[in-house]
Amino acid sequence: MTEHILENQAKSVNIRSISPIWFLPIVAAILGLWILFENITHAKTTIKIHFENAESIIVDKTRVRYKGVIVGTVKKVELDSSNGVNVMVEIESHAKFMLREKTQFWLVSPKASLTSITGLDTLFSGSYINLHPGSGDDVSNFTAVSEQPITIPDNALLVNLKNENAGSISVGTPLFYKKIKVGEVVRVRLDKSDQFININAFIDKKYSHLIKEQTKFWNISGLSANISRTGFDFKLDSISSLIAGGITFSSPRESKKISDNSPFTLFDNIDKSNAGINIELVLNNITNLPKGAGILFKGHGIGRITDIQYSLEKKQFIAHATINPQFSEMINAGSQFWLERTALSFSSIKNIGNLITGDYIGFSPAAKTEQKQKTQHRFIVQQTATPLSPVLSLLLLTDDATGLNAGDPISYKGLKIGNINQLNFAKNGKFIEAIIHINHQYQYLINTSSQFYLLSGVNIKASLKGLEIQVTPLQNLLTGGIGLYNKFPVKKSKKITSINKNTRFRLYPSKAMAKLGKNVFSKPLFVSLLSEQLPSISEGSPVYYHKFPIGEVSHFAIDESGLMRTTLAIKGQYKHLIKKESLFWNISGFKIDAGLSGIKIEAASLLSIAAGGIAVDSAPSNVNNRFKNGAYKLFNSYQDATQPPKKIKLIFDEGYDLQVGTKLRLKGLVVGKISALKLNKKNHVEASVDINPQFVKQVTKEGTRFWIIRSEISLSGAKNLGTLISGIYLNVLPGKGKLTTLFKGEGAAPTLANKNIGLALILVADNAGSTDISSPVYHRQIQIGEVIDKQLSNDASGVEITLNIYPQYAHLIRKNSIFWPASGFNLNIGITGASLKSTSLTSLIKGGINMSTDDNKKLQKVADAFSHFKLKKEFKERWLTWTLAIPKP
Amino acid sequence: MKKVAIAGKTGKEQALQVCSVCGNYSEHNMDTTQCPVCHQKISLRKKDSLQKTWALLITALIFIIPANIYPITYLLKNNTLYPDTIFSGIISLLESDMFGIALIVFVASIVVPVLKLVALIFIALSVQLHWKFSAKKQLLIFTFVDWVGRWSILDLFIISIMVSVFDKGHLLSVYPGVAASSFTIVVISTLFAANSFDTRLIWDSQENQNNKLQDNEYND
Repeated sequence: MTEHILENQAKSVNIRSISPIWFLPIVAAILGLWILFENITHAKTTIKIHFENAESIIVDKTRVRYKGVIVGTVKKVELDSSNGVNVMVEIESHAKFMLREKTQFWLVSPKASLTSITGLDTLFSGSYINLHPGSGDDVSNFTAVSEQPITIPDNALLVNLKNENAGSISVGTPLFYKKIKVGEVVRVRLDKSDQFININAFIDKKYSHLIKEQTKFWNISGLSANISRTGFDFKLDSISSLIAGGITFSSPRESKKISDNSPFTLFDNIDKSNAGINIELVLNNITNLPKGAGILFKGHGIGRITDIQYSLEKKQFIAHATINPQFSEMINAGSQFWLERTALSFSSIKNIGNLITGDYIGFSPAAKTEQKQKTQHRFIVQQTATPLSPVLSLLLLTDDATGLNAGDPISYKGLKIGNINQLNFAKNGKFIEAIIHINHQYQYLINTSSQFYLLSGVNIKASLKGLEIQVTPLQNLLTGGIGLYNKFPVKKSKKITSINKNTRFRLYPSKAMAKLGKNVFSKPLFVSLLSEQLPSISEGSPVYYHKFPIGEVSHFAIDESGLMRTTLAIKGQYKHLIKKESLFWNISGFKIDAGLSGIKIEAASLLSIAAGGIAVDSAPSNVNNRFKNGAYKLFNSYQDATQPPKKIKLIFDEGYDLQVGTKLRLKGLVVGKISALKLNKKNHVEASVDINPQFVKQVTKEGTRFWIIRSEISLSGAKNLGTLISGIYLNVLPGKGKLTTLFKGEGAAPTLANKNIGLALILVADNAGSTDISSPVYHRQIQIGEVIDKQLSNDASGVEITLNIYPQYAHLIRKNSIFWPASGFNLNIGITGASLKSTSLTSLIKGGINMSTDDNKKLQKVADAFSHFKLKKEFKERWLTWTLAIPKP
Repeated sequence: MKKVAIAGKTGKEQALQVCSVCGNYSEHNMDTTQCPVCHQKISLRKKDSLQKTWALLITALIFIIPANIYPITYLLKNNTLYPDTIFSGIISLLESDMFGIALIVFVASIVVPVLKLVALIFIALSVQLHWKFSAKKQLLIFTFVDWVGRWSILDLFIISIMVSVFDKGHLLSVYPGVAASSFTIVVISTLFAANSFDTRLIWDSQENQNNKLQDNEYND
């Protein structure tokens, strides 16, 4: 029974219910199927690539990449039966389409060059095979290329360049346009003919329009250092071009776009590229002009001399130069070129650097004119710079170009109006032609009457004649040059007087001559002078008019009258200076007053020092300048001629240090000097004194006193120490009497020197003590006077000391004033010790007299002159306490 | 009241069923769906046991293929991805002379999952097709599979550690591959397959066969 039931139940259990767990395997199956499908559809393709060697190719590790995407893996490397290795690569299905006949494979391994480091990633990840898809049929056997094929960015323009050598151009060398990288060299190959290097480069699409038919390429590779005397010429276009080289090119605006892919020539440098304008410069000589010399426009290099050749036919140098394209418009018919060379002159130092670098060519464009100038490619190089503005060119004739230099300024009243352009010998050989340029704005100053004169600063003429130094202001000393003199002032508004181009101007040696005009060049005037003795001059010695040479000494002779005749030749242009009243005097040599008072040199001119000379001037009317026969007198000096000194005689008891030449001074002024000394019959010294004319009236009067000033040294002081050095002199105190010529000289100063005017007092003392002449008189330790004399009284009972109280203190001396000696010191020696009293250090040395007035009594009258006082012997302390007020009168 | 179970006979034969929760057995009736002791669901055998086992085994079978073909880890070293399948990993271990580790990986990753699958399929087949095979041996195999199954998770454990440890960006990183997921599915599905398999079915099938034989005898 139970079994039945069980069986029945089992049956019911057997009714199968499907568990939801079956969902799991179904999903798994679907997934599995999908994976299977994927595997089938994305089946990898195995291809064979032939490599030269399998270096750094590792099975299962080396990948195949295209644009950085891994598209395959090396699965097997096997040796090829013939050569190299075959590498089996599994290419993933999605990259299968790239496996075409012309697809290229190459091995990328790390490569570091100066411009770039490529494949740096392969340093870590290992090399990989790169793929560049090509066209053609599907194939599975490939041969790897040995190097990376040209990878040109999309749509880039490919240009072919041709050059004779690769220089520093290599794959990756950048192409610059205006220093912006616009492309890159992708291949450098030897031409099939083995003659040229073919360089393939691409230009990025956005720059491809720059390449035109007339485009020129040149190498800017690296550092172009042109080392010559012009210096180091470094050209560095960019740092990367320094390292990797570089190519740049021009893009002429007008040129057409390129049509075909014909090769361009790659030039070695810009000069060779002819991108600049080529011009020819004609030069007479090329001293110090190096090849490669620059052409500078206002100091800016606009070009360069590329080559210098000598033309045998034209006997000229022809320099080929290249002008940078951006300046090409400035080169036209009006352009000027000149040689900038070192100029060392007093006025300026120019281009001193050229000494080292060599000269260069200066350039200035044509003046702006409305019509366009014709282009020109052949220029003559001037010797000097030409001003930018039109100039007036003048021709000056001169005998002597000393002191003139090309470039020296032409000045008018100190203002520079032009300069000397050129100095040449005139055709006839007689003259020197100076071509001068007057600046445009000053042209109105020039008219037919204009005169030019030499301004040359230091005009040193060293000849047998001696040395002639013409001193002009310091400015001219530096600048020199030529001055312009117009007799009549020129107004600026005046129209420019047209000057015939053939007008020749004379160059006058000096302004003075210029003023004189053209008679400068006329015949000289001969003048005869007579003198007792020949002057210390020689033939050729100059004749000066106001220190200006106007002629020279022609010859000497003995006149019939027995006098010496000196004949002067006065230059023609100065003829008019010699008049009837002309006065001639000798300025030969130089006078040296070499005394202890200093050296005084008097010379008319340095030439006169060397050669002597004769001066001429018009004489004052009262001078007898000629002999009766009409010949001029030759005086020893102008003073001799015009103001002969007044001669007086002084009689001295003793000669002391008197010498010929000892001066006479009146209040310090030299009024004369001793011309002769002799002993007269009475054994007195008789001094002949020349008194300068202007002082004659004061000095040569009766009562005038002359005394010798000598140095005096005593304990009380030194006087006139200066005379120790400068020598003694005679002091003069003019008198008031009639004119006379005989005087008595005194050996020492008179008692009352002229400066010691004041109140004279006489002190009576027992003895002179330490009081000495010039000992001071003190009141309250202020000097109010001095001792001017001391002598025994008439009966020799005492000493009379004469005081001179200075005028401003005269009122201090009252009738009851007390005087006591302040001399020395007061030494009190007692039990308490010793006390030393001295009024002042001066009085300690010089002695002196003190004065005071009693204040207990009424103020008494001022003491009269020469009133007598007693010099107290004893000193009382209370005297010092007196404080009497003494009003000023 | 309670029916006493007799040794040597299956519960089914004695109309007894064991509660999987409290372990008490009770009489099996048509209407008893609850354990009289703990009131949990109770049934004579695990419901759809063989069916579930098969489903999970088939899942494992499908996934064991990609688990071994596809890369289980990706090693990113110096910007390059190096995929490694289980097998290539073992080979590279062998190439670097690490036989011990290679053996462990080989056993844990290949031998054990395959053996487990094979063993379970065998048992399931023998139950399904009522093969005459010693029930005791079958149980022994099953017990071994059940015990060893937990070790096959070792691979995944290592991968998970590697992924978290080697994470240095482009220089050195490890990523799990497709095979890792597949392998996980294989391991989990075999675990569940073993779990869902009711070992009592072994005896049931033996008995059924006896019955069948008897039936055949009867029929004959």
